[in-house]
Amino acid sequence: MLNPSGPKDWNLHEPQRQSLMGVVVYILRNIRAIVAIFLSFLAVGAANPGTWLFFSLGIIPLGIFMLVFAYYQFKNFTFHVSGDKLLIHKGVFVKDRLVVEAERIQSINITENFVQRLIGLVSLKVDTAGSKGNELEIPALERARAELLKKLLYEKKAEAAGDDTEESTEEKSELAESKKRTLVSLSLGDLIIVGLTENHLRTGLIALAFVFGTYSQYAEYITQYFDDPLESYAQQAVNAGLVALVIFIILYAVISVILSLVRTILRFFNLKATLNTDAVEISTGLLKRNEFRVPLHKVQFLQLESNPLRRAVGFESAKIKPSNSVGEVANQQSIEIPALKSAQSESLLLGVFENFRIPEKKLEANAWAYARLNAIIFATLTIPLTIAIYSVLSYFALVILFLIPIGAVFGFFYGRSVRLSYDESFIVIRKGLLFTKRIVLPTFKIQSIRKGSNIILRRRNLSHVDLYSAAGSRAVRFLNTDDIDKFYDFVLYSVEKNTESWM
Amino acid sequence: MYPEIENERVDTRELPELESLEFQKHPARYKTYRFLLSALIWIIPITGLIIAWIFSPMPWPWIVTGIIGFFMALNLIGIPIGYRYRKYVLRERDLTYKKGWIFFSTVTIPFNRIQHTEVSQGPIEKKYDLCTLKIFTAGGSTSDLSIPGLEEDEAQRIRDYVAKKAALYA
Repeated sequence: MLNPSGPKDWNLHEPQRQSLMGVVVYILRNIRAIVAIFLSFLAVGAANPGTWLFFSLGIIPLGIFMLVFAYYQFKNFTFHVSGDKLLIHKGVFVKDRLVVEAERIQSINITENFVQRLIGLVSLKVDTAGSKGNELEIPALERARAELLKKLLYEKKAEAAGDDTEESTEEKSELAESKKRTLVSLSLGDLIIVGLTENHLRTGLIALAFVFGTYSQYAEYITQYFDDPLESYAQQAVNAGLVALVIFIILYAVISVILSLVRTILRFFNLKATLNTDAVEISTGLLKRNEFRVPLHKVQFLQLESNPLRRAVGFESAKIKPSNSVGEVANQQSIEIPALKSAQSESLLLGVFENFRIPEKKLEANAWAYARLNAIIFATLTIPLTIAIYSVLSYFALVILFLIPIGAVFGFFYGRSVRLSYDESFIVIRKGLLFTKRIVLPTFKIQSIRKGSNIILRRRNLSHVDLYSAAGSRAVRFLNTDDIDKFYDFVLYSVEKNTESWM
Repeated sequence: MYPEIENERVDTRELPELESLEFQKHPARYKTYRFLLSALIWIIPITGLIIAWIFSPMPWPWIVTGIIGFFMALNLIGIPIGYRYRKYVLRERDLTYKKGWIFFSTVTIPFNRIQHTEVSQGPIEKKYDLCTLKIFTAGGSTSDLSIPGLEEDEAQRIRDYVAKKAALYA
């Protein structure tokens, strides 16, 4: 019955273990968990030789315990499909019995990380409707068995839903297969271009925040080591401050670009996006390979983004936002295709939203309001700074105040780029001067709508509007209040008369 | 995916206008309830203030009094003024709530997008016979609507109406 090596024709209806190599997967998981605990202990106690002794003595029994533990984790983990339920038994000290009804399954994702790829295994994650942590994982399966299980569960789900007889599902999947077309597949060259045209400023800031965050966590212990040398070099360090600043800026630039490249390649290596009649499928990643499948009717909106560098090479990136119920995996990294030629983004748009056309009615934001807002923000930032520096630099300090009109001009042109167009079927929001954004949202997918204003804006007859969808909200600010009132009534009318299912 | 739907021309001038409707206000005792709630909340800062007057060196008690006084005045003035701006309207296909006197907002939830509804009543609300009606959508917690200070039977009536309508679309 319990055959660990597994025959080639798996009977998923009988309780079975995962691949024996799964022990390796468990061992590595345990190591990762333990290393994280060890590191913090080490950081605290490293200066004390007793700590090292304790660790060298402790590591052998701990290692043996871990191996045994991993083996039992593997041995006690069995799963099978019974009726229309997936059953999982697991646990070493505390035994768990998990049951999922096929009907409740939202999506099934197959992922593999670097180690899993080396030993040829994948993990299968089952997302169910409901809150976080409701995800089931079978972490060590042969790919063929995972695919088989995935197919079986989807079949059970369709049966439970009762909308398809078996024949028509087959027919349908054949049809889908024939209509399947590759939308985009990225070569390494494309990826390098994408990496080089990332928003480096942001990547650099993330890295910096990480470095400082980690540093301050252990700062106390680090300074303990370097206390004396630090003090004697302190004077020189101050003198070399300017040099350090220049070096810092260069380092910042170089590291940011490298990080962008690495991040892009790790995340989007060998990305393939295919468009079927009923779903978008994306597989991507170098060390950890993710496969997403988003049914088209679950897509709430599309967000197309670009920046000046990307525009120069003719690329645009697309984020596909499915409703929250599609599952954790998809939500953590909103599904993204980083490089699309404009013809490809058009075919993505038309593939996801079949009858898309650019809506007729157009609203433009009030550019002056954006200019004023920027001027106020810059003034509150620069005026105190100017006063503070005035005592040192006297009149040169006033130069800083030029930032206010510059900010206002930038705000004005940004405001001019903000546009909202709408009709009964679609709403399109465009905004952004350098970092442009285009959001395409089917009108009937709106869950609720909000308009707002304040005492000051009311005198200028300006308002904001927020559109809430099942995949997050998007706002447009500083539009004419009368226009917003009309838009508001129109959107409500469109949503309320619509009878299509939004998910 | 998208079935053929009738797509007749719509005269936008004939769409139902939300702003032209008469909105309903909360019962007047909602103000009293809010004053009591405020009084309870302000106990903590005022205790802090008294401690500051006893123990802190001189300029500080005045500064703290100024700051707390400003926010307290804003809060207390805000209750009667804000009350005039709080209003709701129930239509055949949606529910709208308006509020705010410095920052105004209007939220509308169409019945065919409602996930579930709830009427709740806290201990202080119970004393004043008031209820809170909550309406949840799939748009996340920011888009959920909560209408406090409703008469108990009014809240139940709205809820029953809304739930019945929402069930038609489920």
